[in-house]
Amino acid sequence: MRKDFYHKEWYDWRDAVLRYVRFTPDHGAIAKELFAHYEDSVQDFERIGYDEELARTRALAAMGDAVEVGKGLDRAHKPWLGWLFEATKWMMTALALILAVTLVKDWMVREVWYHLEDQLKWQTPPAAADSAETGHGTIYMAPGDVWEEGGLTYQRMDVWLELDVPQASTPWGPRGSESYTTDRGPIPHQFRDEEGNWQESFYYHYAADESFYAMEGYTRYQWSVEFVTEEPLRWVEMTYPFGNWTLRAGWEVEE
Amino acid sequence: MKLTRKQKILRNFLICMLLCLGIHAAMGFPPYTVEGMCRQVARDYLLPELEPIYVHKEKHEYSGDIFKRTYTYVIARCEDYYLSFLYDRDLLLNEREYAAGVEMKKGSLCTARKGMLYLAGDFDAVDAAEIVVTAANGTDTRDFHFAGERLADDLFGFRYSEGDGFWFRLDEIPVEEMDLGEIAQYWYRTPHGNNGYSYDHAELPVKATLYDAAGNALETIETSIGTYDLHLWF
Repeated sequence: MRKDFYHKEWYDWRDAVLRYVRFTPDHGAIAKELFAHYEDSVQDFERIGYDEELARTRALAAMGDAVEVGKGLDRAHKPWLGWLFEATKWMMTALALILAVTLVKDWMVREVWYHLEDQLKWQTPPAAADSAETGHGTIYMAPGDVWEEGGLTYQRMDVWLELDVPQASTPWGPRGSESYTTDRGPIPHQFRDEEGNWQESFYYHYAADESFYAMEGYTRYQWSVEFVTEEPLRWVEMTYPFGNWTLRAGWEVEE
Repeated sequence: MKLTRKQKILRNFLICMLLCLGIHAAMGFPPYTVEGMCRQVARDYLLPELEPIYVHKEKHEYSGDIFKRTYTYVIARCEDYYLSFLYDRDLLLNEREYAAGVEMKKGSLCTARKGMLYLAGDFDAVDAAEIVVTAANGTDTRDFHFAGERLADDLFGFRYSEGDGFWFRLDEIPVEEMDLGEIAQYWYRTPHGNNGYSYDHAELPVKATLYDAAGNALETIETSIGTYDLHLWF
């Protein structure tokens, strides 16, 4: 009974303090902290020989004037700062949810993974690669493997593109709108003739082991072009209709 | 170390910024402004800066959509090239519509979308424009004449269809009453028994005549328009 009475004194004092704190969401934490102080103080008084009743009375008196404490706490717990803090927490939760939905929807997480993997796996082109500044980044070209198959020569040429700004859309232009000239004249992309048969030689195609790009990062792309001819080519030049640049790759051909 | 409330707010803002970056990256860095869309096209095609000359935005709600989609159709100039492209925005995701493609031509561009045929070029001295589009079906040919409506300094528009793009009842319309959009479907399709039709691509010749303010013919441009462009209805 007596204990309840002293608790009532404490609750009255605490409620009087909280009336001055305008940022209500902090009331719980403030009450908890004040009670901890009060209980510590009670124990200190009991430790020096006060009985519980007196210890509680003294401890409560030591907590100070409820109005002053309340005003002080209100200054420390500014409502605008408190609401801003709450808003940032809601914002974080909402953004985390949007990110999770974005990643799960349409298996976007897989796309992100592929882009990141290619971005990191991409290797700097060899020093001997020819390069050009495109205004959006650098494009490189270097001769690759040469092999013979079915009486034809296959010459692989590797192209790297490094953009200045990240994007996940495919740079369609440099792989599709470009044209190639060789030491034996312009070489066309593989095509079907009027009877529907594929051209047998002297054409280029994009490397068959690639879906579109061998590597498609956020800023780094790589692909390969294969030239199929009866006699090996000495060099190939790549030109692009929308840029004032030409890239050249050469192979050492035995006479 | 216990953070103050101000420090916690700052930390939360930083986390929010990282989450925004993560969402933007997960969506493939979609552009949200016309300038951003132009920059993305310029990067994709390694082009110099694009200058938008015509922007048409519209909202469309498909059944089942929670939010309306926004279509942004842009015709832009890049040195002596003219380009057109379409972006489809679904809330935060904004992707280029690959079915519409990026059309790019040097000197002048003839393209079409949703019943409007566009002719872009250097039209500073031009006051008016007319075009004739010729469709053919074997020996049967039809010329469609349109007067241009100036949409921008470098652009004329020609309304070729007032329909809604749903040409379900083509067989019920007399051929002589069909507009260009309907003819581009009706004459350029292959029947597949009960399985409907496949639509064929053909380039229809377009002859544009440009006039000065006094009504004198300045120039004639001979170009073409694809039937698929004339079918484009989104």
